[in-house]
Amino acid sequence: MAGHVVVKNLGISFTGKDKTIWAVKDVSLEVKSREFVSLVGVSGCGKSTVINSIAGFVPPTVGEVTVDNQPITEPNSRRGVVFQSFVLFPWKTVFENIAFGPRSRDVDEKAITESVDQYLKLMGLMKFADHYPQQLSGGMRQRVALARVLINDPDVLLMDEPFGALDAQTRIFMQEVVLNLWESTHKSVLFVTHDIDEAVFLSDRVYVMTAAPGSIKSVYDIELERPRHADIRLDQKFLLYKKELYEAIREESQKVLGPLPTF
Amino acid sequence: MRQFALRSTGIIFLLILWELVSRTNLIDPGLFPPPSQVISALVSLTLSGQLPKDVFASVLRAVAGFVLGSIAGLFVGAVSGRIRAFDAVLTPVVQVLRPIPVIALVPLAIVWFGLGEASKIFLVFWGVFFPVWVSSYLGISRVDKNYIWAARSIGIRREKLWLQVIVPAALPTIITGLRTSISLAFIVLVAAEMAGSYLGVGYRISAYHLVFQIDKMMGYIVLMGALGFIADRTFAYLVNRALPWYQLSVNQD
Ligand SMILES: Nc1ncnc2c1ncn2[C@@H]1O[C@H](COP(=O)(O)OP(=O)(O)OP(=O)(O)O)[C@@H](O)[C@H]1O
Ligand SMILES: [Mg+2]
Repeated sequence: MAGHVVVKNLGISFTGKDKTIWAVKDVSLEVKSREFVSLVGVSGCGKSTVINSIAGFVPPTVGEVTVDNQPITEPNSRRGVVFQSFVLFPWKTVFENIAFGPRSRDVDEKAITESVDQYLKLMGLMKFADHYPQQLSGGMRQRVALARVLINDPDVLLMDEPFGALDAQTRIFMQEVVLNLWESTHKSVLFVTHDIDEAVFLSDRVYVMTAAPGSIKSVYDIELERPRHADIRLDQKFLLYKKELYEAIREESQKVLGPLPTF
Repeated sequence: MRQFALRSTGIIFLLILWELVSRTNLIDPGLFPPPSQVISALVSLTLSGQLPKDVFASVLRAVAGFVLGSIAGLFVGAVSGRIRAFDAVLTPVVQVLRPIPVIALVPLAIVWFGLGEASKIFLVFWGVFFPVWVSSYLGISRVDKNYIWAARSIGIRREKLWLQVIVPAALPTIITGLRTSISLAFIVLVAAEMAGSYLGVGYRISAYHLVFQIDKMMGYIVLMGALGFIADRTFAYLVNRALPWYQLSVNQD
């Protein structure tokens, strides 16, 4: 069983001109193989930094990050990353974007075409194979980004506010796309979001971070049955989880923004 | 088509105005010949074979200088934009030379390389090198790190990163630099040819000035404008053909 992520006492600092900023202070979390785990926290608390460290983009300053007991030294296609801003290559067509991974690994072109077509179909993008990303809507772009990562069959999927740039309807649609995909492929997922509803709906477990510099404030196991459908949002248990998480986050945002002004 | 008709009206109006003003004899027609006279001068120069030779010589110089200067600028810019050691050594050298207006080098180039092709090509090379260097340096050194991260995490090998990601990501900036350099190449070329030459559009402009044949001189000035226009359009056309995504990216962000 691959894709077991362990983050232990992670601290990451950036050294600027005259001072050192700790982006993340003391984060410990775990994504077991095939689990769906979310990370929520107020803006600037270090969520992206945690993701970037597991991805292998940013090395830990202190503490350790391992996947299947191996310390992470550099990015690898075993750990796929989906970015908030999609980061599709504008100089490549939809087809070429999705084919990027297998082509980098010199897979033969016939096999590439077959598997790209399969993902285009899965994502409902068949008609757009020859379009450039700039010609697609936000929801379509994010599906291309997802396909570009999934085609490498990673063990771990790291998603940094993947739906943050989408409108509410597209967002709900994409949540179901991801949930269906996860239920059929069972990859380990670490999902960063601001949206509490989204976190509860998707996750097995939710970590809440403290305000900057971030550490883990509290953990919630979401014991809702699977497979989940949209109407689970009206479930009493669902609402209780949302309430608990909401209060935890509210405490942290007050630390950043101060108490509510009184008039 | 409508668009084209609309765009032409301004130009046609300008030509008519020019024709009328110079026919009123308010200004000495010797100093300000009407367009009809300029056009007939251009026709006879073309028929005599002199004009095509000048155009050929000038275009060859411009193209040679532009191609060499661009290649050098792209290369030095890319290497110093991405590799620390080269940045440390090369960038200060470029920064010291860059503020010298290239026109100031015209006499020096003639002393060094004579009145032949070499001095013209050198000057165009020099003029083109710096803006291309700047665009290449900035384009390459400021590639959005997300592109590199995304590529690395889908499994690209380090050695493929240059061609697959860094260069294409920098292309929009580089293309802007190249396009600016085309008009610059013509400016430098005219200055170089005026300063001393036997052939070429810039040379004729100054030669007809000395013998006071204003109609022919104006003909060559118009010709110079036409060459610059054609070069710019050809470049834009080639870019859009070769990089169909470029237009989309520029329009959107
Ligand atoms: N490369 C860097 N250099 C300097 N400081 C950085 C760098 N990356 C992040 N930081 C700082 O670290 C802190 C955490 O940033 P991070 O992007 O991880 O927050 P976040 O929780 O993802 O925020 P958001 O929800 O707004 O995306 C911020 O104060 C940020 O300014
Ligand atoms: Mg972030």
